[in-house]
Amino acid sequence: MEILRVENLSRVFGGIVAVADASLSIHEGQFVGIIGPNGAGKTTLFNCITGMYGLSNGNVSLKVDDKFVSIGNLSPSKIARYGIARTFQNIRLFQEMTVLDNIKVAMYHQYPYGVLASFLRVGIFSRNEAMIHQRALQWLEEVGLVEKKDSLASQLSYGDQRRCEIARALATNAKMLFLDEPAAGMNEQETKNLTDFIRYIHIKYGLTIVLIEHDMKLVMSLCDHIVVLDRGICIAQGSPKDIQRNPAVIAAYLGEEVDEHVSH
Amino acid sequence: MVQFAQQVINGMSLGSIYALVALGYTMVYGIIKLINFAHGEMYMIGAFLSFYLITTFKLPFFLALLISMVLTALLGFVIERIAYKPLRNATRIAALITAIGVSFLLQYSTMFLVGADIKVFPEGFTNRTFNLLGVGISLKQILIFSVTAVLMVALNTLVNKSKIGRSMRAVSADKEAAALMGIDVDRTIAITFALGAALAAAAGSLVGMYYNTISPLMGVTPGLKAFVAAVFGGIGHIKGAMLGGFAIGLIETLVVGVGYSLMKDALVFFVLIVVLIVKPSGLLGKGGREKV
Repeated sequence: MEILRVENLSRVFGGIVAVADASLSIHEGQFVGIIGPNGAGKTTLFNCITGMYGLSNGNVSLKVDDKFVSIGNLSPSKIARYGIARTFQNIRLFQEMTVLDNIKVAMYHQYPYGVLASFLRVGIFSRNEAMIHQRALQWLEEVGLVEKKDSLASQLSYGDQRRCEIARALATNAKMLFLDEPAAGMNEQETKNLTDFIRYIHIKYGLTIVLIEHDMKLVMSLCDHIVVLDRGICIAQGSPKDIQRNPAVIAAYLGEEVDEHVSH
Repeated sequence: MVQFAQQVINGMSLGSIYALVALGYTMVYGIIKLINFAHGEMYMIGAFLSFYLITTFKLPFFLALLISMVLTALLGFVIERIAYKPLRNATRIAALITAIGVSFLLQYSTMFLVGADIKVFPEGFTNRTFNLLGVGISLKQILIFSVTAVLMVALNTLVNKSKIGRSMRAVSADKEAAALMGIDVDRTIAITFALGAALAAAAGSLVGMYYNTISPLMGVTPGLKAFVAAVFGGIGHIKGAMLGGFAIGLIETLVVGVGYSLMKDALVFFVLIVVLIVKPSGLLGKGGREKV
């Protein structure tokens, strides 16, 4: 079942074509890896899908309540409310807020109540706040950060910040999760823990995950579908096995063996 | 000693006013890095609204204060939508100049509508002075302290414990990440303006009640001093604005108390210069250069 459809998406910055005519189709529950050399347009593609960048051309549509809705030019907050969440290459937690508040912020759009209610602290306010508090604690439990709920996000270790960022994305009640190089800067053990964790949430929450990663071992072990970008162009799509044998992909990596560790 | 204590009481009540206004500067700066030079006019308009609610509609002071806060908050919200939101991605200097323009627009529109003359704010109640060990504290001062305290506690709770407060902090930390977490960034910014405007309206109404006179240009000097207070305390920091407000109020009153009333404004700015030389980010500001 298709959940996200990207059609002929292009994004141009001045004279530079960051993404050219990319089309892809992502199915529910799929684990998609997006790979490609630096500057291939992977993060730009993420930014276009999540609404941070407008599209120069093309369209993105998402299945919402069994209908496809065009999200190509919606604001990031609307897209987030439709169930797309992401993490960033360079972690972007709200550093000066506590771990718990970071999670709560991501949940508020699911519990609408106004400023007036917050002032008056009336029924719906305290009920919602109590519910949000409970739910946020559950998310932290899930990622193993519940003991650190009152620490500032900036005080967490790198690995914990990554987990916290993923928990925050999950807390938006996302059905699609976009992870931009989650293992960047991690050692082998941390990468392994993270891989296990991502696999766990993928199965447990039936998420559709799209992942950008340079660590081929991680990509090959997690993903069931791989998209290869090179200089803004989508040069190959397919299963990990197909991609490893694809001559165009091997050429894009300048002869480097794709199934070994590719470092950039 | 008694005289010193007396000056401290007076300074604190003036400082409360500056602190309330400074909070608006600091919140708006914290969230969109704009020095909202039209903020002093929220203080002035709040005072005028209270004035008309009391004189024309015969409302009691507290009710007038409350309604004036709500109406000024709405005005702040609308001004943000009309004047600043379209400039969200423009240069900071464009928004700053717009703020100066909005400030003049509000001053002279008010003058056009109600006249340039000074209006006498009605005595809502009989003023009494209580004597504490020789130090006089008037009912009006007690009123200023209590309203300020209530508003500050309310603001602090709102910012730290509520949805809108957490959203404000998230937006101020990282607008894009906040938007991607489903926060309506534009609405959050407009509400920040509204909250700041409400606090300024409270300050303006309290000043009207305390000094009994209001005029369309009454917001200029206190607005500037509250801005100094916000910078002094570390702009962008809510507690800094409170501290800065009280500090500026105290300095000013003590200088007058010693007999140099002509020097008071000069000294306020002198203190600001010294603080900025010693600690450029203000008293509570974090060190480190701002990323541009």
